[in-house]
Amino acid sequence: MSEQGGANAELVKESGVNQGPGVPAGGEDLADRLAARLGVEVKVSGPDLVVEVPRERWVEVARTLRDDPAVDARFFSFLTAVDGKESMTLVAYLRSLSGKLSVAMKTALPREAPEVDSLCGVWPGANWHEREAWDMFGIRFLGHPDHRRILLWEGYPGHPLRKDFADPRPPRERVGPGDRPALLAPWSSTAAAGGPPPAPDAPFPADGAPPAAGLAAGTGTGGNGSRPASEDEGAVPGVGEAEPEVLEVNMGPQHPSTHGVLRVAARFDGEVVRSVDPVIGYLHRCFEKICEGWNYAQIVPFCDRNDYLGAITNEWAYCRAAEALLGIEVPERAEYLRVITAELQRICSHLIWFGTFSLDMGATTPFIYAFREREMLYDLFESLSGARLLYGYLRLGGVRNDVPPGWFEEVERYLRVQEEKLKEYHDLLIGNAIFLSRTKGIGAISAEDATAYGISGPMLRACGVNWDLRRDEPYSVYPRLDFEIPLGEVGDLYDRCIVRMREIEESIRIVRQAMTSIPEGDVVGKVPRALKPPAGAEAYGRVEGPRGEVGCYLVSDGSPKPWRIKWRAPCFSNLQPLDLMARGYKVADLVAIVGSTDIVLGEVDR
Amino acid sequence: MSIVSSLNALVGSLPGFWSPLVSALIKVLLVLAFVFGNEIMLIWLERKVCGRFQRRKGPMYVGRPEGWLQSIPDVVKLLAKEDIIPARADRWLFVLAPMVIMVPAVALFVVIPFGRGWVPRDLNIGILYLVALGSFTILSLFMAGWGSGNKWSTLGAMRAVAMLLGYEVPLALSLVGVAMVAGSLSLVDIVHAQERAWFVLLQPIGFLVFLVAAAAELNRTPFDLAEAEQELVAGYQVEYSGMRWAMFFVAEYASLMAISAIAATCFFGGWLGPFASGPWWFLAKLYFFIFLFMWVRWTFPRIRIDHMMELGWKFLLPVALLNIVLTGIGLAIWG
Repeated sequence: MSEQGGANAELVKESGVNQGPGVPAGGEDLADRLAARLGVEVKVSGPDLVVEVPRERWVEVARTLRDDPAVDARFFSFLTAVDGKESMTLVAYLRSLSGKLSVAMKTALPREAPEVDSLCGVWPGANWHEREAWDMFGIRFLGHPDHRRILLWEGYPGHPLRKDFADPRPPRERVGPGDRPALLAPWSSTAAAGGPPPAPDAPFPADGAPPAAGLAAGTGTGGNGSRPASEDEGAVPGVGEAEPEVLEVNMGPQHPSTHGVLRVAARFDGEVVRSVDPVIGYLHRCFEKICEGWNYAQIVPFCDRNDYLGAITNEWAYCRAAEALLGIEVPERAEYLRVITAELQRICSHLIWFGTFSLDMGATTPFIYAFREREMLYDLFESLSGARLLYGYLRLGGVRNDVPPGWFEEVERYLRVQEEKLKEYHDLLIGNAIFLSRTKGIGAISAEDATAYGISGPMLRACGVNWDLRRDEPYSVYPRLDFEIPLGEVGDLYDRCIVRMREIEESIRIVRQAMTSIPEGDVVGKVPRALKPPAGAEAYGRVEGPRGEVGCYLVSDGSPKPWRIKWRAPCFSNLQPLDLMARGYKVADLVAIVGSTDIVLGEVDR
Repeated sequence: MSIVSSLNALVGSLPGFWSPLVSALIKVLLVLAFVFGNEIMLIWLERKVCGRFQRRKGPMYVGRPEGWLQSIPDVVKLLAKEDIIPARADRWLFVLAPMVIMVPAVALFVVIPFGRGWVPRDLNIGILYLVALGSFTILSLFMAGWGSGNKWSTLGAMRAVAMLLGYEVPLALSLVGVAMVAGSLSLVDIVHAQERAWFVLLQPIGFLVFLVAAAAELNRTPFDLAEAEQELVAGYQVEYSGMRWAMFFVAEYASLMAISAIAATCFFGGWLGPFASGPWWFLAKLYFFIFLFMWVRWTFPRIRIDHMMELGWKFLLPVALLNIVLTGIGLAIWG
């Protein structure tokens, strides 16, 4: 069921604590062989291979990378674009779980009316990522089955991450210290139903305009982003013609079990789920655009807000990317502190998951029990960083401060309580016959589908895929620590639950080991006063967060501010195959399946 | 006992036509006072019990100690709320449903014997009356669910009706065994028949079937499928607010009391106790069952609708039938 981690401890000691393992031995060979085989340029960049592909061969090369046994890139991590000064670059990050190798596939597109073939036929997980690239960059994907905007609403003027994007809103008046800010006009339903927008904000579409003509026909007649204010209660746009015996309902965005402002446009046949279409973007705040306006050191606390239940791992993903770009070394003590806080964060996040999942099951009491232990953790985090949810604890080059005196003893006290209480959770909920009947064999997804959709974290491991970044792309001091990777067998709700509960146990082990072996020393390394990475440099930093692979893809133009920052959100990929997981199950199962994905909408919508 | 007899004497002295009317009125008032008086305490009790199970304290401030007056400001708040009837609702059904649901919840108490001679009306078809009225609740739930004009509430109503078929049959069959042993459908006779041994000892299988089916009838976790906050938002009551919602709430607790009273009467000997039999025993048993249902509610996750149907049709129903057969054999041998 599980394998020992830390097997390649020596490998990492050689390459230093901060960097990853680098391209596995033979990476240069592989790059050369690939280049010869594909007839394209293949470079080695940090730990990853970079394959530069002409636009016409985009899908063909992708298919080869997936099917070639030497590469075996079955895991689709993410796809995004970078709006360069002359051309647009499309980047797809792929991974071979068997070869422990990441491949960045790139192609150059013209900035005017960029078009490229869709990757949906190669990895179904490309679907949402390509919709996002259309939404943010205006890249058209030919042959895409569902070419709609995803985070913004249909009819939004322009594509905000393009560098030529002009904010359509009139500039706001600056408000001085004594001035009262102008109040927005009151909201009116008539205005929302088609009249002019009441607020001096970006136009708020009443009925989503169809996407620009000439697109591959999808189901994009309805407004993905058409907000409920403007739509008929209960109506589901864009899910086809109404059938008499099918009930079309909106689960969310205000629903007790969507874990945030998620809307699931669902079609029920009695109690049976016919199809579901997750509609996201309600919490979109264009994190990536905001970050382009701030310098490298200032961005760290923004990252907290993405996955607000996994703040430390968010910061860590960004710090890893930025430190790689800027060449900053992290002292060993800081690395240990990062591991300790990240693992405590993982326990904390899994506790919240356990509590809310039990709520989804209709059991209210375990929720409170999980929050009782989480409260102890929050007290620990508060005494460490001053904050309880969004810590801002990591800094480029280390962490903000050393631990207060006696903190490790407090952590140990907490860990003992937690171990005791884990048994209580099992007695109260996980061993319950109703719970077992509600979770066993429900919502399973196969290992092949999971990798093709880019599902990561406990959801991937529940399918039996033995992949954990902490062990397989070792970073920080994880190789020195002894821990196991819990695995499931069939990937149903029960396996997801068990994997998460066992991960809590393993995190407890990791924290204990890290606390006993932590060296003395500085907690912040030498960080240059001016943080200016070389122009054109890029890095993809990723860590294993509580929900899966949290990644940050940074591109620099040589200025103190990042040219492009892309957030690889595990929940975005984990939520995408919801239809695949829920179709054919009962309404009650749909709620449980949504719960089992452990989504945080702040991260899905960014 | 003396209060009852003097009251009877007083009412009996009235002229012919008025006597039964006044007596009925007094009984109705007494039952209503009992139901609603206990109700206020029950809502408080549920909050305290739930709070203690969840390591909370529950209400603490209104009515010290332990906030026992909390329900009163709650009612005041609910009365002060805006009365909302959705534009798409079927107005008549929507308004009538919360009133209709009160009827079976309170009317169940008509045949419950609180003590020796303390019974509002000893019907000789008592059990039949209970079963018939108990399934009446569904009418109101369906009115509410359908009349709200909301898809979630319609789903809730569908579930309520489907569930009714699943649990009502085993519930009725589990009481058949009791009637067979007692040789009567009257609840007073049933209590008298338990003077030697409570029926929970003679009908253990029937009691367990009754307990599960009764929990389903109460629409409480793990059988709160029609409400299912996490799935159907609030099911049939999703569009209700203010006092209309409160009536569903009140009816739910009245049913909880009624079902607990039936359990105490049919299986635990009603007012009979090992010593000093009297209404206090009935009350103690009543609250024991109420606590039991609360305990279950705050412990279990919710069962799924198809599992519920399987439980009802494939397990409870055969077991209840088996119980009847066994009871018949037992009566033939020892009866």
